[in-house]
Amino acid sequence: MLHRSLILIAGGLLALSATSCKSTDCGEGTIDRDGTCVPADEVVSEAMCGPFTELQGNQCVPMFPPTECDPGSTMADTDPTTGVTTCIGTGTLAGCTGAFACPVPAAGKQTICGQLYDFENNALFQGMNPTGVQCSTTTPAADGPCALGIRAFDAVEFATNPSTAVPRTTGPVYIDDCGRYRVPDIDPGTSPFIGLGIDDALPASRGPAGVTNVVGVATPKLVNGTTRDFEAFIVKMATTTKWQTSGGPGIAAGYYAMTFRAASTGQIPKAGVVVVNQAMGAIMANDFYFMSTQTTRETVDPAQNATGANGTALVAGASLAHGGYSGVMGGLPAECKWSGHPGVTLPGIVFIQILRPVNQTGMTCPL
Amino acid sequence: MEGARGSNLQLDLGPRMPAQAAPGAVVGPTQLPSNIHFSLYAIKSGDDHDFLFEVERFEIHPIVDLTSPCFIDVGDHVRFPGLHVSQFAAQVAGDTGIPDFRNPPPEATEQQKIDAATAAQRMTNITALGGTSGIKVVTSHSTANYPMVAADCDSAGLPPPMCVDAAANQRRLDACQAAWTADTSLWEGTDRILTSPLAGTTFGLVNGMNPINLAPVGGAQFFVDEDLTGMDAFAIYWQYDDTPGPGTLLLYGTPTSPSPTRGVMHVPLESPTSGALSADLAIFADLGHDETNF
Repeated sequence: MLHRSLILIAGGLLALSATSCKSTDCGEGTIDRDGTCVPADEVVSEAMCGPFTELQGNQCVPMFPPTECDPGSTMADTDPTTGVTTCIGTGTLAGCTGAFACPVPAAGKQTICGQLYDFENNALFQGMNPTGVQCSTTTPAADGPCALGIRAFDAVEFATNPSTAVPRTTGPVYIDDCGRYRVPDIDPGTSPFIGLGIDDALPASRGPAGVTNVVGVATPKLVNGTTRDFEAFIVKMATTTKWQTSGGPGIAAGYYAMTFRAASTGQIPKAGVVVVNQAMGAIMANDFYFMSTQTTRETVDPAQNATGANGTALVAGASLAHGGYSGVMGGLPAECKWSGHPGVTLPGIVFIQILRPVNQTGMTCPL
Repeated sequence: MEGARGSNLQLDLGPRMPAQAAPGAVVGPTQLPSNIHFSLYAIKSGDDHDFLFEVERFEIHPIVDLTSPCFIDVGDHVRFPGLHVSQFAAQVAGDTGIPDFRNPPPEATEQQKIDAATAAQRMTNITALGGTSGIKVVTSHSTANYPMVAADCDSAGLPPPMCVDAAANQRRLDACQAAWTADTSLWEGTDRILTSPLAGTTFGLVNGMNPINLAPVGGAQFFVDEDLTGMDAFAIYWQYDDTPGPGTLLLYGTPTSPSPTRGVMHVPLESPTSGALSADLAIFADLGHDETNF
């Protein structure tokens, strides 16, 4: 018992008072700092908060969510950096150039949004005369983005054994005839990466048949977050046939396609990059490059030993067990290096990875 | 004899708590700049003013940072003292003569095979620990910086990571240890023991998951000199270093009443702008006068 009792007798008045060890009673605006009263670090005047705001700390903050979008005609899109929510219309008036909403996911989920491209020529993969209308979810089209389906996977689980990997549950996948897609409320797996699998929606057309081979892209898991402007691709069987007949590997063994970009944003390809495995170094027997002047991705040049104008390499025999894959050279300034990513080559699948310049250790990459 | 009059604070920061970017790195969408600190404020409401008391200043970092020039191996038990960890697998590969642990040469010994495979696994673990789904650490705060990284292995300054000879490793070790000695709050983590950093103080971890074994991790605690009895609210701000004022409010909350645990203040902290950010604060105030817990 730390209390001490003290009996005071004064002026015939008997008072009984119990006090504790606490002998300091700090005044207004001070705090007991190990026995000494010290003044506050900051004094904040009572803020005059406006209607529907309240004082929290030293800021007036909204009492209610700042925006309520009409669910019948709009979709809420919250900028992750500013926190500003914009209601983006779900109609087709703005066509393919209009804003495309990528709403905040439900708690514990992730939403991924972006655009589909044809990997052969990097063109937008769109339907004929696109207007931005949503593709049918029940009757796939014969061609274009409305023939496709997109499923989400735990990327590592899929790469380890695609035959046993189970698609993650998601909200309703949205694809429109502009080739824009949205995979909402993905239930993330245990690995650090979410993979998107792009293939024909019709079961009979899946695999090399139909519009596209099976294509995989992966992005870091971001629980409770949105991944925006994430490039997804289709790769036609005609395209992979061109690769094989010009000296590259075949779709039967699969591809890990690495596309090097010249800057941290944008789509300008980077020539002169050599693929390396981050644990083993150069993989000269397993990397294939395209003709040096070719800006599309059609013709493999077996004599080429670095990326050409399309900035792309095809890697055979890639494995998660080999560690990450990256690049060297390409004329990067000393402050930059190429990003590194796990990669895998699986039969019948084209895995596509975008690589960009990142900071060299202790430096700031200006690109 | 009077006991310490301070308080013990136990802080569970939610998984979405933003960490600081590496120095010089582009700040990601879920990160804050590197040259900032977090502050926990206790708030006492007056008649016409609120009084903010800065209780603790801290930082939040990924548990390992391969871009740090002083993410090195230190100690008598390590294979290459002073080696930048990014070069560990390559050095072990050269040391054992096994460039690919999946395809060791026939003359390799069992120990060499184990070493090569372990080194490769270590690099995989480091990538996972420092990645976007890795572990975030609540650390001591410092405004100190490491010396400039030299342009090559022979120039003066901190040797770049790719310099791996014994002399460069020793110079790197000396320079890093000098920086850590000059400011004992300068924090540098390691993958070897998650709660024992190379330098500085680890107060604990942001709630999350260890990406290697998928075990839940989290919980940080501070001992402070302030008696936090009777405080009306608590808040966490972030602010640029060397800038006056509390900065930007991240989390705010008031003690629950009645407290769910006798003798302990419980403060749920929430973000005024983001439902994804939250924390829980438990305070054992005035430790010198605690009839409940001691």
